[in-house]
Amino acid sequence: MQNIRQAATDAFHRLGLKQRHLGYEELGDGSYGETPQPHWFHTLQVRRLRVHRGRSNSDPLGGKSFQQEFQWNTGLQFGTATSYLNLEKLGEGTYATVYKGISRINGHLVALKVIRMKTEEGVPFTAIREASLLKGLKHANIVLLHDIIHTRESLTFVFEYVQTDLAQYMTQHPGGLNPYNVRIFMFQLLRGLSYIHGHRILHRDLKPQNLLISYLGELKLADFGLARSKSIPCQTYSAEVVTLWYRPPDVLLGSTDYSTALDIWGAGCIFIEMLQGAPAFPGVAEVFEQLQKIWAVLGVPTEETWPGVSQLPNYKPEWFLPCKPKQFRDVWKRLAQLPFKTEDLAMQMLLAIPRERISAQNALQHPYFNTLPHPLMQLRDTVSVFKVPGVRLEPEPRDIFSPTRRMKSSLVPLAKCW
Amino acid sequence: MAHTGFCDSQALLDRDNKAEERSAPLRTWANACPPKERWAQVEGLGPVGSFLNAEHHLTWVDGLLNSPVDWFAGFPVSSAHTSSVPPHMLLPGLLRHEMEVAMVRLGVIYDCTYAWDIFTDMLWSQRQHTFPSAELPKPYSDKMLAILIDWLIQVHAVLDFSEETLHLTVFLLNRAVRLLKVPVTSFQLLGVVCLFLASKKEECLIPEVSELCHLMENAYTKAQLLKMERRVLCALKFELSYTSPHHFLLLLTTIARCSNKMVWMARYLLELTLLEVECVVYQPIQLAGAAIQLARCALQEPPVSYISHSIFVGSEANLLQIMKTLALAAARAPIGNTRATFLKYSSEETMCVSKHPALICAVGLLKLPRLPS
Repeated sequence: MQNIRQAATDAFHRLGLKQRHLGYEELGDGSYGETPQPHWFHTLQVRRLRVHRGRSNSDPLGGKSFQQEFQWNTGLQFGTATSYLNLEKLGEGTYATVYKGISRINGHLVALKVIRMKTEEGVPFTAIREASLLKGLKHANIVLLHDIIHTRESLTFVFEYVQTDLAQYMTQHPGGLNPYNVRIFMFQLLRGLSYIHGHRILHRDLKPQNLLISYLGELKLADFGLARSKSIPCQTYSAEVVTLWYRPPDVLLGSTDYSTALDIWGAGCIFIEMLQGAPAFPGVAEVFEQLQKIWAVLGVPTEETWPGVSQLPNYKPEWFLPCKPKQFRDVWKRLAQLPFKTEDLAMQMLLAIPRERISAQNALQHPYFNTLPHPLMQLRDTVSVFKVPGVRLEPEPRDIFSPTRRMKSSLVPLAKCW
Repeated sequence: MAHTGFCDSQALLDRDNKAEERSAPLRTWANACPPKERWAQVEGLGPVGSFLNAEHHLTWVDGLLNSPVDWFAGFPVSSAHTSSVPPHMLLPGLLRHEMEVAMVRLGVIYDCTYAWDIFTDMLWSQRQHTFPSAELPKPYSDKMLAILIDWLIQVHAVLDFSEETLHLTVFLLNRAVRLLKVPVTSFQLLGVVCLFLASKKEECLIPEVSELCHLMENAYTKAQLLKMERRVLCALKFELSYTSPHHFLLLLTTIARCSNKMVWMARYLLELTLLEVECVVYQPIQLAGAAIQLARCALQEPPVSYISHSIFVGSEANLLQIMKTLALAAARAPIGNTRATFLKYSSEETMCVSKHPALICAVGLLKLPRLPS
């Protein structure tokens, strides 16, 4: 207890003279674990090759004798590196690299997320949060953490292997997805969110790259590195959490007491993106531009339309061009072609005032989902929606892999590899 | 896709099994109620409005305990348009309302949809956060642990961390001490590592490793600290979740509309439980409940709202036992060498609760024999 000296350094930290840890700024867009956006074409190539490769699983090892290396061994233990075999690199992020692998214990495919240890701070806090939160979650729409391997140099999380993610899926099927499939994806997304929100957890980093899609069409929330268990009382969280495109206006305006409504906004943006085939509020690096994009649709809020908005740190109405609220169907044309309840759900999810945004649990009850088979509503947490008879993906209108042929379901051929 | 048979899923599966086996007595409905299947229907129940009525309350409990937990318990889709309502809507209205108000006031949620889900989840998870016995493994004594925790409380205060971090630190320490074989010479290091892990889990600002080493007067190197971190994480299997008694305390006091002074007093008493080794066998909600009850005794404050009484906190015997331990601890606090908590709560901004005269003779309030002097 080096009281005074300590208190002094502490005060300096608080004044921001010396930063203790990088915080979220660096991680804001650090889509670790997932392939960064510019490389999508490369990734698609890899995936396409794999389709043609058929059953020859030995290829990824680059000519090594697969039979000798790979034997299922019941004597192997969880938690040791030798129990898994790396097959190929799937992606690299700021603090982790993801490999596809195979478990030598039971032959399951796995995703190995190898986290580099930092000599200065030990195990990264994102890894600690992700592991400790995922340990407590068991749900069909949350990615499953099988195992953790901890060595001196690195930390490896062993996840279930899921074939693709929503970002890649949308790249493969440009111009908007089949509205029927959107409904199934949306239902699963909201189901997962409802579950984690009921467990006091906010995801805080929703984006298509973090929504994994299996060959059947199962959607799984992944990448909980920025998520945290909700505490009481809510602490002021860092404002720099969600990737800008999916960030709600209240957080952009500098509000820090955000809650479950944060994830709902992100889900609403993804909803529009799936229907429209393009991001809802795309493409800027700066907070004010992002806000301008949102105001262009919702209108610039005033103290009358949003009580308390003028108290938020970044609220500077004179900086914004005056905008009138618009109909969603005029902005996103696909909505005009669909029944009104689609637009209605989108509007309830994309409300500017956080406390008025619909909750995930209520959204699942929205008439938009009425056309889905009824047993979906009573599923147990761990049961996938595709266990319900009659639920399956429909063919997407467009597929860049087979532009001429109408695909039955684009992902089915992938499934045959394993 | 179900990949069953993996090591980490076991505990969770188990939890569900327990849920189904459990046949709770009527009084403990609050602790027993969560049907994890959110839409499982409770049959034979009236509309929501009548739940202020005690009879209906009991019917609800009956219905819930007897209702089969099916995969597809028949619950129609559009609840808004039919007479049946999901169970979270069927809770005794007033308590549900109070819980929502309390959570909104504490800033947990904007929309009230999850208030009850969150509370039941807290009640569920806290059950795993107790220890079967208060006994410590061989080289350690209660006294050593108390001294270490007392020092950690001071470090925690200097670093200006949240209450949750402190409770989590002590919980992790208690687990680590039981799971790891650490020589007595590294005991302080173990404590600091637990604080380090807790801060990584809870805080926005994480202390630097060198800063922590400095706090220990550089008795250990950075490499040693990081190695210990690895060992502790492996031993704890990365399970760092904890339902803090502090959260229960805030919820219960908000629902009961306690005065500020009483909240501070209860917080002080709750922090005293950290140093009492025998308190680890009790559930967090019991510790919080006992702290509140003792604070009420000490301040002679009559309850404003009785609503919080309908939450079953723990058995009378358990609560009395904890209160007794706490009363002794409070009387002992100003003397002795573990005074960090006492000093922390003797300041103006905490309304000097630890110096309150009633605490010296708190044992008398409980009609127990006086302290041997």
